[in-house]
Amino acid sequence: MNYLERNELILKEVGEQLENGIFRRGRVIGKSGSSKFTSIGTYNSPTIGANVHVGIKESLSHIDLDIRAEMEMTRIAVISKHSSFLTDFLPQFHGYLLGGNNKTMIITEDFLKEDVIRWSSGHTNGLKCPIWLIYQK
Amino acid sequence: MEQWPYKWAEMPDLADLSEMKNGATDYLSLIAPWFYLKEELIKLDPTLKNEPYDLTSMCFIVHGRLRLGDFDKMFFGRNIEQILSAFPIDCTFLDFLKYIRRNKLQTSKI
Repeated sequence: MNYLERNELILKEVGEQLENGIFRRGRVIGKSGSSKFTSIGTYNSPTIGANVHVGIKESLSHIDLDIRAEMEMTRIAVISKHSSFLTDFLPQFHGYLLGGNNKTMIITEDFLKEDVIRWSSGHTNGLKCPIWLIYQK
Repeated sequence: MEQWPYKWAEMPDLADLSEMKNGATDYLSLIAPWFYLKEELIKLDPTLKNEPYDLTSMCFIVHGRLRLGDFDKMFFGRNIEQILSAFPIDCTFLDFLKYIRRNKLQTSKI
């Protein structure tokens, strides 16, 4: 299963949790000049067999996040394919959420949670990228 | 939050990087993921090799995750079709658009 396939499975799970009303707005994790990130909850994912922490990124300006959401999904897809040693450092999942009033949000991993597990590509243990091993120290 | 102080075209040699420290900053550790991504990108698109792009505002990894916003710069402002044309993935551009559409969640409960 590649990153995109796994991402799709997790997003399907997240969508089910949204439908079930499991998620609620929680702590605002961070704000930048143009967006904020809010934790909305945690669920146990059958796909990865562990908890997934979920958050939403919202625009703080009149500019919607629709194009940004699509571009980030594209970049993640390219990185996961062409630089697979970096996949440990990609979010567990990343998607597009249309909320009330057709407001676009980005729904993705809340990676500030302490018990985050890493998506393992299987490449970081190899010798393809010796500097990366130095980095891991 | 550490930042890389060099422009793309000024990136030091690997041997220099391994020795380079500035206070507590280990630039080799800082640049490692980007260095490899750059090499991968240049393999796919050799014209990027001499691109004098300013990397100095990039923040790299924060809380164990790549800052995706910085990838705007890595991909030189290309749109989705251009990115996927330069860096093909496991599906076509049209298939990828379908993938995005398929993965748009909707809710009125948040």
